[in-house]
Amino acid sequence: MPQRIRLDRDHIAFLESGVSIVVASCGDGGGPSLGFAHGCRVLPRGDRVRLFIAEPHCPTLIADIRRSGRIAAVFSRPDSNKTMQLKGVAAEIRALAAADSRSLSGHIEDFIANLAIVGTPPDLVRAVFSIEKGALVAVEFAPNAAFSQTPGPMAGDRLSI
Amino acid sequence: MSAPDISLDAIRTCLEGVIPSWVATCSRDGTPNVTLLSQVHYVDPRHVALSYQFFNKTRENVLATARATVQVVDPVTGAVYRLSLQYLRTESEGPLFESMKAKLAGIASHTGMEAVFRLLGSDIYRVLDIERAPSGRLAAPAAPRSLLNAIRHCCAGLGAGAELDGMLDRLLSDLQMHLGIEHSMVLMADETRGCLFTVASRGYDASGVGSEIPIGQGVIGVAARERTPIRIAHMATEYGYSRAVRARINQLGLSGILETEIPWPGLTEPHSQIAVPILAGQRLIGVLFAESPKDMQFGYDDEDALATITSQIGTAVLALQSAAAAADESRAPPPARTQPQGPPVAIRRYAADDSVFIEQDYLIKGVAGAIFWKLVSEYAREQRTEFTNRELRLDPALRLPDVSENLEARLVLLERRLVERCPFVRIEKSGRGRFRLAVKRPLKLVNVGDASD
Repeated sequence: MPQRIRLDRDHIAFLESGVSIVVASCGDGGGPSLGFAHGCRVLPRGDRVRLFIAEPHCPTLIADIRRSGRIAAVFSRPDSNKTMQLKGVAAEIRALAAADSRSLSGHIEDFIANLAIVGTPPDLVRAVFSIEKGALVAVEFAPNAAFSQTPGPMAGDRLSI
Repeated sequence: MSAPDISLDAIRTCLEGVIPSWVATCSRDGTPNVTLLSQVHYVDPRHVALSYQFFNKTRENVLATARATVQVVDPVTGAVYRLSLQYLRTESEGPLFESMKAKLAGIASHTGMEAVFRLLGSDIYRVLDIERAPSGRLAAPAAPRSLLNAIRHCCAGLGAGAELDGMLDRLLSDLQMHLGIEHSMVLMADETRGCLFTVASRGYDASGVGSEIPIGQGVIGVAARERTPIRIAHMATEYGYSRAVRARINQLGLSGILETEIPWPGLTEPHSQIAVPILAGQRLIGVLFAESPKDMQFGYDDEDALATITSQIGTAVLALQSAAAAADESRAPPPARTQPQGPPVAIRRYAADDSVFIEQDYLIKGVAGAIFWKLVSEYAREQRTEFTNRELRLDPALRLPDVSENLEARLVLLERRLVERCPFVRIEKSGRGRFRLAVKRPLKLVNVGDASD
């Protein structure tokens, strides 16, 4: 049985703090796919995570997740380099819920503010994350492993959550 | 969405490291992994190299499956690209490795990660496909200049001069005018002594002509050793001259051999640096170096521009050398001697290292010192003022390393040091392959430490 983890308040705060989110999956032939997520919401019990991804921007990634359920997502604060990776094996593609839209609206602005600290122009970030209306889907999964990826000697260590 | 017609060359700006790149891999059982990359390095139109710094999950997966997908972002337009890659091999030494190592040192220092970032290898991948995401894109501003046009002007200038010193000055001035490079220098190789010596510079308070750098040290020394351009986009103390190179000279016990009296002219806090080897075939002629107090001043295109120009410099230097060697010596120019006036000046030479002092002030040492001593000795003995490059080349006392010795560069160095430090003795060109010693004050020669001379 895959391990189920429950994220605590600090982890949830970090994941929802305007971090950079990059998501990966695995294709049929073993080739990896990846793309940006536009935000994240941890469900109230702390055991399920919803990521918002623009399907037209990374159709391969969404197709791979839909087919395999495999997912890895890295959350990174550009101003501190603090980085965490979550993995799951049964991710599902869902429509956006009302609560998702609320967390989405704050994410990009927080992300822009975090990136401004390291000198990335807000217009550039908006260009990268500009999407057509209705492009986003929610990718929901129950993380079964968490790793620290903050650069340094502890990078890659499994977090005991 | 797949757009196979996107060429890697067209998206090199994405590989400058302005916006972080990410790499995804999968284990054999299909578990994905994603991590930040320090460097995606352009190798050629079909290959990139990724920095291998730690043995981590990415590395494990790549060795198991040979597949990776990298996501890069254009720092100007915000366009997002994904590169499907197939792992080929890892290099842990050589030109590519050294280019990436230097670049990483800049990135590490820029991000406060000096202690963490160490390049273990350059992982080389074939680019299988490039996909572009349909994100909104900002308009790219007009390029500040046409690089092709700049190259054309700089190369044309190289053919305009008949002498090495004029050619190098013109080059550095052209680099400023056409490429906006404010701080630059040319160093010539002395492979026998394992160093490079500065013969021309522009944009510094002191010219630094005569200052030396060991081959293999710093941006310039590594570019010379590996015969490949080395560039750093951020301040990198590891590659700075002041600390690292000086320490290394002392550590290697080279302070008696290499020039340490003449201060290095470089910027105190350079943020961007590029060193491009000047080659003639496989032979190392020297290094063209440029730097800036601003970050990210030299990109892939600038590197290509300078590499194109330096390949022309190599050819031009060789042409000047052979022209000087084949110069017509039978046609002696009319002597233009001026009578020395004023109190005599003591010129002291130390035989141990051929160092020369004008009164108490250091002038030069090594081969250039030996040449100077020969000239002033013959002047004192025979009142001789006319000399040829050829006779210097053939003089065993000068211990010129071999036929490939760049004597013209030594003469430029000596001539410039005299202008800066000894204005009453000058070397003036008096024809192709010949020159004149112009002495304006009486000389008193003192030879220290060698009874045979």
